Amino acid sequence: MPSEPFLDSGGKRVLLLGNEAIARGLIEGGLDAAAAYPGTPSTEIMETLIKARERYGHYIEWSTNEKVATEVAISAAICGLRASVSMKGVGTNVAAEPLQAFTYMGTVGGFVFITADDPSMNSSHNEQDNRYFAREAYLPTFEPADCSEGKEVARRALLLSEEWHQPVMVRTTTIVGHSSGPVVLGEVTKRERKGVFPRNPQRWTNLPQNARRMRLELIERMASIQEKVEAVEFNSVSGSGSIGYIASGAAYPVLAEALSVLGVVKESRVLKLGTPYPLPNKMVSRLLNSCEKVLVVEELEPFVEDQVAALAHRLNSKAGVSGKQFIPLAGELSVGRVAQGIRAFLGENDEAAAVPSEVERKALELAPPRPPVLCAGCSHRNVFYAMNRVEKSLGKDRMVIKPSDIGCYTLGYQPPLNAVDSNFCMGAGLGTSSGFSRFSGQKVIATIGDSTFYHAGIPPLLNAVMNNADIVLALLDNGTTAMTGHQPHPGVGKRADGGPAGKVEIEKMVRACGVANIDIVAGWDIGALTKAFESAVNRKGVSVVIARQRCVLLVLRERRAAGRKGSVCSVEADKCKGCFICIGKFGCPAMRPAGKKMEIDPEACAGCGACLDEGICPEHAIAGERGGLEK
Amino acid sequence: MKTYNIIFAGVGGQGVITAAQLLARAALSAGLDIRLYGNYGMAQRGGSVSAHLRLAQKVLNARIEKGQAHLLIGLELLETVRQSPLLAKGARVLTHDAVINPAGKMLKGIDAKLKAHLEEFFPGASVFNAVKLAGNAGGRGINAVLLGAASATDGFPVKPVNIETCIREDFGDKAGPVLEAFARGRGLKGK
Repeated sequence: MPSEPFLDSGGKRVLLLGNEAIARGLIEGGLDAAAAYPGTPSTEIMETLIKARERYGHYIEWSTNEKVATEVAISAAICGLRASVSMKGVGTNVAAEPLQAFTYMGTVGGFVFITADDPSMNSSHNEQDNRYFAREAYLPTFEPADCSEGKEVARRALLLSEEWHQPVMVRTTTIVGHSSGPVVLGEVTKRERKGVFPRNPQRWTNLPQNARRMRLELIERMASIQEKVEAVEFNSVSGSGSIGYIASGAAYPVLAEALSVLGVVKESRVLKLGTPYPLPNKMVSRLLNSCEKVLVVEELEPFVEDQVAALAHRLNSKAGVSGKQFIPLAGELSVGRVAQGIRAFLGENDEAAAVPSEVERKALELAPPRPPVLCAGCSHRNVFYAMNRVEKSLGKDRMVIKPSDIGCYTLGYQPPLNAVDSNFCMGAGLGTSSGFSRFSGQKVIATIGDSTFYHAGIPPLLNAVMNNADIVLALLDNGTTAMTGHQPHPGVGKRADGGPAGKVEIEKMVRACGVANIDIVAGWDIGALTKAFESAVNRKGVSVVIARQRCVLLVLRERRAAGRKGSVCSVEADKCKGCFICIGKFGCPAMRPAGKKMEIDPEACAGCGACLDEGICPEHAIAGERGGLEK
Repeated sequence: MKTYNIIFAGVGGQGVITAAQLLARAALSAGLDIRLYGNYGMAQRGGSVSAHLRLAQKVLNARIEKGQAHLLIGLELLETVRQSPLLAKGARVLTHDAVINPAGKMLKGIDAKLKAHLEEFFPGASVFNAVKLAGNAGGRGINAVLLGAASATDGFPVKPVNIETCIREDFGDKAGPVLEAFARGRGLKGK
């Protein structure tokens, strides 16, 4: 058996994660090139394609951001190759512009844009429903109902895009990408992979004179695709009852189970929808004609509902169309929530709102939340701690604004650090800093990680320099994209598969952006970080403090692989007075109370020695090696 | 067969998802349909981790509803209690008895309260020290002990031999101690 089930041969029934199934489907569809920027819940699609590259020979890359990834995939498709680009839902905002241009042109090779949306915001900052983006951009959209369907949906989407000459979207949600189920693998056929640029400036240059023509061609192309989606196998009807249901994507299995739990399968007729845009209008019309009323069950926005209601209106249908009146707008759907909606839709007296059970109430009381925390030995903690210390030294009336960005370091928001005042999206911490400083007149220390800096931090840094902003930037350089599982970025010097790559050194990049004041400080050295921030906040203009320490998870992984044991820090019990200032102000997760004293868990401690800083233990009770992590 | 619902609960780094995947593969090799849903992404940074595993001839939806799980496999006591509302009345609880304090929290005397909660709502819950039973298998052994104990419960839908095959596949020549831990877990039946 091969080490990875998604590499197995055709005909095998294997357990795959939804994102692995999607990757396998792309490969079975003859994928030639894939680009992506990591982001939960999409990352495993590209990770799988990377692991499969050696066997199947497709091109893979982690790109610097979603926009560039999309452009790379577009160029492959224009050269006649089959291409995919994948990202988390909000990444679509970054990718939007090239995509909007490309949909006008149409494609030569298959092109699949994969957005992994995140209802319930399990690991995202909004619930944006990218089906709206699809319609706005004229991207025919496929939604797998579950992990197992993911493979076929991805495969067919890639082939249909080529057949239709139109880029398409595959939209997943967290439960689709992050659940596993059985998948029967299909065959992978070898493909000749020589792209040819089909020179045709009138087609690939969207000057208005061309774009006006493209727009009309696009409208025509979509009209023909509108007819073709009727035959797409992911749209199907089951049952013959007179109460109609339409469920899009991941809402379908939830609806199916809810109908079964309620015992109303017989009375129902269900349209399972795999293409929410364009809608298979004829199928929907037949459902409207054969049902008294129809409930649209979908997660998030009434995207399908509004289209069905408009269609019913045009058809003068007698069937009433409902949706969000009964199905919640916010959050993932569950069988319980949908069943409650169906009961109300069927006119059954709804019971009183569900109260938490006794066991639920007590469990909530007993088990405090356990949010993810910055790892033991992570240098981000040291940076935030030093920032807090400098802010305190400035006095009460000199509050420092601390905008942050997207990455592990957003966890600096959590107590005891409380060192994140605002957070928007990739790069915005730096962009807003210039404004916060100008409009409030206050000092600003912004935090951004290295991968996010390369992704979206360079234009706002240029902007800060260009507009004489007065800010301090803490650049947290841990040498990787840590939050999503250690993907390389332009500062790493490695490609997606670990092979050698060009390397852009971060301090040279910062200098090239026009920043004169740059301090490079070891990430474990809280004393030096404090000094660097002190002098930076007392200076005018743009200052950058680069705090450098490799991600502790990577260092520890290397140590384990080499069979090395690093040193750890410990508490000298006779010196510890049990004040717990260390836990209360610094809060490394390796620190824990042991009766009336503090102790350091030797299993958890990474040995970085940051806690030897004199501010953390007033009794100097912690022993260890300063900067011991890399020794 | 009615859908059989299992909850896994633990803390990032304990191997919650890995254990659930192993059982899922064992069930798949026995010809069952399965859905496994776990919270990926945050697992590395010490957050709560749980996984939903559903087994049947045909599973519709991946998520287990409140009050619907038949069995909970816990690697940490606080997380076991956190997930307990998903359990049905009369469900089985098998959990390692260690408590890992959330970072920065000092919970005094919490162990007894957590055990009392389980005993109150799920009489006969098995709360035991799985480290002792794990023997030489270390951290992975804890998961193996719990899977062994689970496989010995009444109505458990996966045969031990299917789980043992998956352990051999995953651990190769290091499978010995893990299989022993699994066997010791099976021996807990009736406790």
